[in-house]
Amino acid sequence: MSTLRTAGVVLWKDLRIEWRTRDALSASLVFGILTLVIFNFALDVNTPEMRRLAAGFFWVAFSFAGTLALNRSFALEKEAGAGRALALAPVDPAGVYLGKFFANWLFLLSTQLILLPIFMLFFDVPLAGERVLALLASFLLGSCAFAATGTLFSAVAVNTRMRDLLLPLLFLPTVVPALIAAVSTTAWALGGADSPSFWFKLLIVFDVVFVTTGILVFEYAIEE
Amino acid sequence: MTRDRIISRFIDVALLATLAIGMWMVFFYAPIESEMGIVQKIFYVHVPLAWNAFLGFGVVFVSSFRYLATRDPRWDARALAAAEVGVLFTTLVLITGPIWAKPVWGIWWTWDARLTLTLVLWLIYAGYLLLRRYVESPERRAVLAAVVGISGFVDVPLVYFAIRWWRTQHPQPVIGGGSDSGLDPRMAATLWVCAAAFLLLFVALFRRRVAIEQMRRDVDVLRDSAEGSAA
Amino acid sequence: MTPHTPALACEKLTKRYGRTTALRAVDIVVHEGECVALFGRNGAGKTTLLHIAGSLIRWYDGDVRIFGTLLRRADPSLRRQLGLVLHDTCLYLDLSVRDNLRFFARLYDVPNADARADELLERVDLTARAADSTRALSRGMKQRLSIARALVHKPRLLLLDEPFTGLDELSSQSLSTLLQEFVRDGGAVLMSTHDLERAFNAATRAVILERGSITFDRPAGEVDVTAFRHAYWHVLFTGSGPEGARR
Repeated sequence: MSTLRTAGVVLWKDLRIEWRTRDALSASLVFGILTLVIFNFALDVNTPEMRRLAAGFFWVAFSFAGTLALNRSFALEKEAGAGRALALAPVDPAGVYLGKFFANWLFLLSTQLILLPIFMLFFDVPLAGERVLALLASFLLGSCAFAATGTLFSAVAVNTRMRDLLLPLLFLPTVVPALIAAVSTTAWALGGADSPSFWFKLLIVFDVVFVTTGILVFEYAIEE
Repeated sequence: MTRDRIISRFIDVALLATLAIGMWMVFFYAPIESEMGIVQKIFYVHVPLAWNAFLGFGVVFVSSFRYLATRDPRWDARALAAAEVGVLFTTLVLITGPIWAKPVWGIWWTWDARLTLTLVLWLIYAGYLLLRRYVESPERRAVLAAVVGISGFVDVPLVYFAIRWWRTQHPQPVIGGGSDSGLDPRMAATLWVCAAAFLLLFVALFRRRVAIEQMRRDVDVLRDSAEGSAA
Repeated sequence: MTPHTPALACEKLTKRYGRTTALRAVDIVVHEGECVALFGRNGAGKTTLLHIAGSLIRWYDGDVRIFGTLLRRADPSLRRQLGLVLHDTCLYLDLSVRDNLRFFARLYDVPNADARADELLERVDLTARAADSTRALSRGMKQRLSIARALVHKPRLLLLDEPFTGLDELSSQSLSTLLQEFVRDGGAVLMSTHDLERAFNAATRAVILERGSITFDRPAGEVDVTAFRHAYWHVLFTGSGPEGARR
């Protein structure tokens, strides 16, 4: 069976599970909102300086929220050993990676889009009409970066004793370039001055590099 | 075995020699920097450590790749050794940086490009070492570590470019005055000698660590077969 | 591949975990049409043997051949011939019963995957619970679903690790019948079990594994179940082989 078809089957499975449980989305949303609320108590976010930094707050909240969703992605494979049956199936492991990657990308992007209006409310951030596309592009490419690296590292971390610690520990430092780029592009989309073109290019390169790396090494992460 | 000893001896001697020459050059040959004074001399330790740490992580990458291709545990031992020495060197970079920054800039840390890059690298490879600690089975550990060893290194150029551009957009005090910003030729020469010395230090530590790891594994095998035949 | 190629052939299979040797030069053969029941104490090596045959464990000494092909060097497509029912049910607890089977059917690229899934739901008598979340099923039903999962892609060799454990009368009966049908249709079965009654219902051969070595291997028909039970309890409690039953 072709790699893409395998990806399709795995994607279907993850989407159906999420549809029934809404675990990944609800966990990441609640945690994201909570983090934004805590920022409000920890700092005075209604000053012009803080408004300039708003993009940073958003991505910090998202980084932690996203980690929960990514952890769940492979926790459900471990639970009753289904992941083992999946790893044993005569399919291309790259297809399994792509399926889970797309599912995670979708969940992360959805989290961002739902968090956005809440974020704009809490931080009193305006959105200029002509930069909306840039904001969407920033979310799309940023969540892709998180999904690409997070899917790979989640598969690695789930085999260890301290999987909840190891996932963020492994994946957050790795995703730093994409994080810087995502914050910069979001900041520009929200009315910032610094040109984002380099950052968009970096995001695209990062995404391509890590999806490719994932495709190539994922089979080693799931072999027994 | 004997050939190994000869190589080790040669490396040790070369190391001591270059280290001695390097230190002499640092204190008696290279001119004292006009702005920063004698503190600037940390540069001759700070920069070579960073270069060689980077090299170390390159060795982790190659060893991880070779391990996945051959499944030869010696490559896993090499990856481990390179990562440990690499993390040691990056730790030293992160220590020498602030030691330099404090007298010069008055603050311990400035999110300078090289220091930030080093910090991110430190996190990635400390994560690599921590991962190894939390996997029980040796084969699984080697494979999973190899996956992380490869992804970590693939990330390095991306981290480098991201931080460099970020610092261009938001400049901060630079620790080290940029190793390529118009160096006096005597300083350049001193830097190269020190770089060679630290390279030899890396190699010496790396070889010893690989040997220790190999010995530990040999002991485990012997112990297991001894207990096995006693059972 | 000749008609005499066994479904599973292990030759001098040895597996060490650090200090412990789980399997010592085990030779075992399972032909098509055979159902081999594997008995032994906990820790005798039954699970290890099944995991190796199921391609879950890659590092071992000795040879394992599935339908004549060396497992170690085989294409992943060889795994198509295998169906595994392990200690874990290998199911997605948050999927519905039907969706679990559909997933594996589609994953294995079974023609008419959804219809095949429904067909197996019938076979294991779970059609009534098809839309329920797998998490809501009892242990026995999960086990039946797991067996359906193992059969969905029409494997020719079934490997089961203590499949009767935790099953009620009804489920046990249906599993026995299923195994008998599978074997009658030309499949091969290797299962580890502690349940003598059920095993001898379905099995064509009985094998005892003791501390990593096979100490008994006889066709089920030649074995008096009562005597075997006594001997087996002897094995379980003293760790020594059944009298006069050495291979």
